[in-house]
Amino acid sequence: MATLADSFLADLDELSDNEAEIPEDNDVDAADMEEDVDGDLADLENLNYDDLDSVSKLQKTQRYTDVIQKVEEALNKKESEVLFQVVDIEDDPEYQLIVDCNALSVDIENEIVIIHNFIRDKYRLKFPELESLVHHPIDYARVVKKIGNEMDLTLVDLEGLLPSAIIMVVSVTASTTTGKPLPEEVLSKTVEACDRALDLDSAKKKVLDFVESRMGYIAPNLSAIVGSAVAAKLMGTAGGLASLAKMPACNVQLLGAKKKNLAGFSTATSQFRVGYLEQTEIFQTTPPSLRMRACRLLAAKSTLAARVDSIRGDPSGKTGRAFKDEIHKKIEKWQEPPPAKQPKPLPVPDSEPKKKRGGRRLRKMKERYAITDMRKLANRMQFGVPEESSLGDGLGEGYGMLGQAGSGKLRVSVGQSKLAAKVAKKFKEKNYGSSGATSGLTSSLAFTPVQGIELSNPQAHAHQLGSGTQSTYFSETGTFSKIKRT
Amino acid sequence: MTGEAVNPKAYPLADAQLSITILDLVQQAANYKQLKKGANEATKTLNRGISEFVVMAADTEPLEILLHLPLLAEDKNVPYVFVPSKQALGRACGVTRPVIACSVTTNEGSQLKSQIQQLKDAIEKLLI
Repeated sequence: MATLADSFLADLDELSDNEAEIPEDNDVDAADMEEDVDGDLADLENLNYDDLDSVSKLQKTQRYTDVIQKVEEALNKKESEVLFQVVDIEDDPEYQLIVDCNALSVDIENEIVIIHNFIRDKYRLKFPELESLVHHPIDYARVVKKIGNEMDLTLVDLEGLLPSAIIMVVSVTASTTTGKPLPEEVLSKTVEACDRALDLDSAKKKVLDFVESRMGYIAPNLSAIVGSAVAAKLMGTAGGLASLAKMPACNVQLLGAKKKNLAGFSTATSQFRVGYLEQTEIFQTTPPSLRMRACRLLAAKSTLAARVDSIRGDPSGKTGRAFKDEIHKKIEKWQEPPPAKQPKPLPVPDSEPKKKRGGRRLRKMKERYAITDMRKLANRMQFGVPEESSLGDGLGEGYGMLGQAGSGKLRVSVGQSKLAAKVAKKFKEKNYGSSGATSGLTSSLAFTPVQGIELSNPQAHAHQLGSGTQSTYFSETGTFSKIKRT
Repeated sequence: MTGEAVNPKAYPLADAQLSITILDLVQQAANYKQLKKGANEATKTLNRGISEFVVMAADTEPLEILLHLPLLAEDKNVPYVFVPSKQALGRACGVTRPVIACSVTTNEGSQLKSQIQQLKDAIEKLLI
């Protein structure tokens, strides 16, 4: 508290110094205040403005001061006093303080981004490549403060601020940079902005520590799954517990995921990086091959726990512990080896009926369905002699050796088949009705084995009945009709 | 299951006749590809503003894992309703697992538009 008060007093002194030294700045500030009505246009102009105070205003607000002061008071409170306040949590002023802390941590994050843009714009004249090498705003501020106006980076010790690979790349790039040393005034503004960014970062850490210590009854189920630290970070990044509950699970998985910073190295061997869920105890104890699946499972269950917490469904955290047990069970299930192969029994023998080899019936069947002599000749080709075809010139159906015996006919003289001879003999024994009408009681319809149906002609015998012009029935000269056998 | 008391937080709860109508329309929406299944996808449709109404299962255990959907639906002015069984809701959605929440999406020119409008009116009558 005393440290923050001193920094605030120093800021107030700086403000009074600025007002005393340069009276013209008041008019410029007044112009900017008037231009604030324009909204986005004023913000664009502020990005290029030379004074940090016109860009960064969060630390001057009363709300920031109040919340930071309350956080420090609450952190100094004893643990036994906190337990009494669990009973009626909605009316607890500390709960409201935690809600304010969640909102404030998001504001601090936005403020750090604004200050980072300010520092980057100022320091670009000195070292333009540094912003593409160091992506994190706090790391960038530390590096800028460390380098200062030094042109030979071998004299600057960056150990502890950056990884070794990045330090090497920064040193090599600094030896070939096109930047120039900054004027002293610009450098002092830049260093001041770095100090302010680092102060905001430490204040944010303090706020998150406070939220983390109170996470046991803000989000008991979420803390049971991922731990208090990660729960505080998830809530801080999402903008509160209600916002976290309204997120889909796939977005929760990516909360806190950092931009890849490989500095030109290959991505083939880089580890899969996730967000804050990577820091949980469940994720770290999982084998590396199962970590992606564990991360997805953890994100899904964490989202469900956050939804239970957001409406205070289970203050005791029983649901969260049930989810955690389920997660552990699933991960152990994944690590089990597949079931051992059992000895395979012999396959069932195929039981199709046995094929017949021969016999009288089979020989008769083969003779009945055998290929004919005509088809045999049609399927054969004589060497050197072109075949005839149904359409001529090789088109249509080829005749093979049919018609090449010399006679020119396609019909084949049949060989004597036993079956055919028997059938022919059988037909001769039958006597079919004769043709012609022999009496009045016989039908003229007759069937013959050769021609089929044959109809006799009743007009063939008309002349035998006498004159056709007179009626034979009433003829005076005629007697009963007599017809001779033909 | 039959004698189990329904969670009083599951409000508005559809009766047997309205549940059948809702599940029929959910099944038709699944056939017309106008359905998003699951609580996460329903949350996304509400955030994107393409949801017609949201159907939730009242026998979810614990029920709090989908009670953020009524809050979102109230913000977006989208009707929401609870049906008694998550198994029946899963079967209506055409999946073999239980479904605790689903959302019928907007599609201009769809053949289901009149039925969706009638059902939205019926759901909003439950809140009176």
